[in-house]
Amino acid sequence: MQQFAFEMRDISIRYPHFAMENISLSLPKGQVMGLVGVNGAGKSTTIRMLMGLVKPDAGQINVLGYQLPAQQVQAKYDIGFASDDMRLYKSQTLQWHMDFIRSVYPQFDQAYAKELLKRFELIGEQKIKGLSHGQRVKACLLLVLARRPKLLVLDEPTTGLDPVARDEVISELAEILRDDERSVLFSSHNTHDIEKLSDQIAFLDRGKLLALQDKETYLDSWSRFRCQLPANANTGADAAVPANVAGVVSIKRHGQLAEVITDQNSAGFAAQLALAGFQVLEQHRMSLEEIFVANVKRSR
Amino acid sequence: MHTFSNSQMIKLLILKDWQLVKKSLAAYLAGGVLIIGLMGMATPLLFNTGAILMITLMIVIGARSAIELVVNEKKDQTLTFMMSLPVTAQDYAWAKLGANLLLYLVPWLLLVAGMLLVIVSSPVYNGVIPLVVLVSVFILLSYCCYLATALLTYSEGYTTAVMIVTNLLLNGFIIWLLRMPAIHLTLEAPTASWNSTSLLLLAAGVGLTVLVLLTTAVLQNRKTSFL
Amino acid sequence: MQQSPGRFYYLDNLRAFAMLSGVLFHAALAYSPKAQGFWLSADPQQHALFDVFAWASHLFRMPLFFFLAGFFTALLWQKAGGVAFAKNRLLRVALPLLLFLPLLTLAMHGVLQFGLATVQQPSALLQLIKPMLTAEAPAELPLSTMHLWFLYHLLFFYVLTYCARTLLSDALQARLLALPPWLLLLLLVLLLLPPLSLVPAPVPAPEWIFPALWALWFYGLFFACGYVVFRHADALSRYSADRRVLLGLGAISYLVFYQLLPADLRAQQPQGWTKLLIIVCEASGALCWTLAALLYGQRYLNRSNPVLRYLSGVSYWVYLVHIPLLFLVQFGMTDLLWPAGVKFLVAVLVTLSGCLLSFHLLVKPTLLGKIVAPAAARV
Repeated sequence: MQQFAFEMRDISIRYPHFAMENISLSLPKGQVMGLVGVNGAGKSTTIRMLMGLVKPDAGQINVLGYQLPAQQVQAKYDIGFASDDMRLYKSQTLQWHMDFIRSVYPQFDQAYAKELLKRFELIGEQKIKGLSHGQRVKACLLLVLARRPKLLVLDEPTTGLDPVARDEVISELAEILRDDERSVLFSSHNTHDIEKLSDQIAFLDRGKLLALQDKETYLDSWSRFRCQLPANANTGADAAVPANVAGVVSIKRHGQLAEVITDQNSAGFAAQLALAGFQVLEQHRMSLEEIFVANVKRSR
Repeated sequence: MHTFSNSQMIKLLILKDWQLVKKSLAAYLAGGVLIIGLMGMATPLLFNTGAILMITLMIVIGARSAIELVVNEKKDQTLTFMMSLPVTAQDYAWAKLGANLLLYLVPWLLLVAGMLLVIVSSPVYNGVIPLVVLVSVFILLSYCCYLATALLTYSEGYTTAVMIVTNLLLNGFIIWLLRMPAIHLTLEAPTASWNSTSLLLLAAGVGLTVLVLLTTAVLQNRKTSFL
Repeated sequence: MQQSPGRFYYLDNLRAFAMLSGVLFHAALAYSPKAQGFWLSADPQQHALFDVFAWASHLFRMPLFFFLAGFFTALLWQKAGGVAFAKNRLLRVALPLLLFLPLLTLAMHGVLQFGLATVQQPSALLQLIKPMLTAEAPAELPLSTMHLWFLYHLLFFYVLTYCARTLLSDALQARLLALPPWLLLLLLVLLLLPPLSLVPAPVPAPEWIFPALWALWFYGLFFACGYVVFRHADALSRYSADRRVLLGLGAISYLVFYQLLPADLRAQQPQGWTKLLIIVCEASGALCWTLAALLYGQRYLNRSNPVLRYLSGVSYWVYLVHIPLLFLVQFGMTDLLWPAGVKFLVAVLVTLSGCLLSFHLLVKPTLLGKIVAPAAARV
């Protein structure tokens, strides 16, 4: 049995103004991976390589047991792909698209498609040009989900949606992902969505993989401390990181107060801070967004 | 080589393209019937108007199909949708080439055959047949040129530029042909008289068309990525 | 093969009526004073009654035929789908055209030679073409689809039907049918005027190798009406109570129309307001009588029995092949001193007998039967 839904090993790809070096990324079957990064971090390039659309300069890509891009045709029968820059044919109806997809994929599930149609509140006979952006995204998702792909790859599916539509899409997605034992790779620069849906988090920035971890462990490992500094402490903004405290990502000072962020949170960390003279006032769990910002800032 | 390994998908893609343009094709078809009806009213003015409209229709069909089926696929971002299907870049390129040729060649052949039938069966001198055939082949060659541009660049700008240039050249070509003694001296002959000049031109036209198509196919086959 | 459902018997019967009355029309032209100038088998014996009869039937016979063709197009397309429809029409319309046009052209050539050789009092047209056919190197006659022009134009109507089905939405039909019934009729009459203004009255046969724009327009409207009526039966039946009015209006239109026709149809056509009055009467006569024929047919002809089935089965074949035989018989009688009525009866009876005989010898037992005669006729 293949253990991974996909596996990228030592991937390098170079463009004139962008490069990715030695990226290794894999997703165990049945897991949902959130791919986080700012615009231009390499999310789309990663996904395109996974779809066999772009050939890396070096490295191995294996998706559902198929070597890419050589076996992309077979692989794509089992991969469902939707992205924010994907558009359907404006002049045709959603039903036409469903018929077309069904002619391509024999496993297309008519009953499930009907159910999704109802759940997404879409009308099959409506032409695509009459749909709102949110409805179009839902239509794309319907076409992808109804074929029950083994691996679902969603590139920024919620970009450009208004908050209500985004919430609807994410809720439906969460619902669907609970129903099915699918592997999902899901990219977004919206960390809330990732936080809500993912089991795994992969952080990309400027073509580098900053982190790849189980979501809970990852969120647990980051923490923010508000500390009272000793009265005699150096008042410069760039207060030295306590040398004997490992795992400090950043320190921000406001007078005698300091905010310390760590990515190696543990019971011992607070104790170490205290030893270094930082009196911990509060400890906060960080949201993925805060972690994202802190992580990107550190790496630059 | 992936070429033609995925013929089922290529067929489905061509079928899809046909469904996308079938409304336009129906409109051209209705227009074609109307034009034939106009020519059938048998006054010289209407006959000539009909002939000019026929040539225009031939150009419009080509331009529309290259834009609708190729350039717009990228512009309207439906290309991403196509890429997600189980096809390689080559399969997709072959399907595009096939669909365009099929959807253009069929109306083109019908129109050329229709015009020849009209000439043969009406009082129009059959001597114009070489001219009509050469102009039709030139239009086909122009079509292949901007289709190749569209397929290789997916750029509306370049494609439109090639369309404009080829259409300007068409006027020049017709004038050039008419000035050639080998062509204009036989225009009012009762039968089509092919001579070495017109045959050479025909061979060159057909040869260039095939060359353009082959080059396009080879260049497309070298593409390794969709984008 | 499947029979059409019972409620359409009258349409089958009307179609047979339209085809068979075409034989009578062509036969009558030989004895019509108005047609003397352009009819090949024009006879020295003439009577104005033939004109009255011939041009009355001519007014609505082909419009009725195209109305029925439109109706059956919608029926077959819906029942069998586009591909099966195309196959069926290629077999039943395109193939007979390709098969019989050359045969009929050859046969006509032979009949003409016979006429030129035997007739002592040739018609004006026969005299006109004599030098063309007897010269050393005979000049080529322009290609003609002869009386098979209706098959040729049907093919174009099928193409246009495809275009309309692809391009037009059903909403248009609904919007037109929402108009008050009499306003719709008025609109149709107005729409029939432009094509009629392009051609002399009564409308000629568009038999050139090109489809005629006026014919596509004029008969196309009737074809479209038939097509719409298949899908909206009430579009026809709502005129049912007014069938006598329609019959009467048609008769008045025809009377005026007939009065305004020149004595010799080859002569200069009336111009200006007279022409307008002629085409208005022609349009309203054609429309009213076509509708009246359908409504009366619905009332009195919606039945099936062996005789009617036989007639509707043989009518297509009879119409396809009647012309050369009819001309042969009429050329044979031209110089006889019989009264026109007797000649007409003999011509019709001999032509029909010949056509029926050929049907039983050549068509019914062979493959041809499958093409030109539906199963119903083969009782």
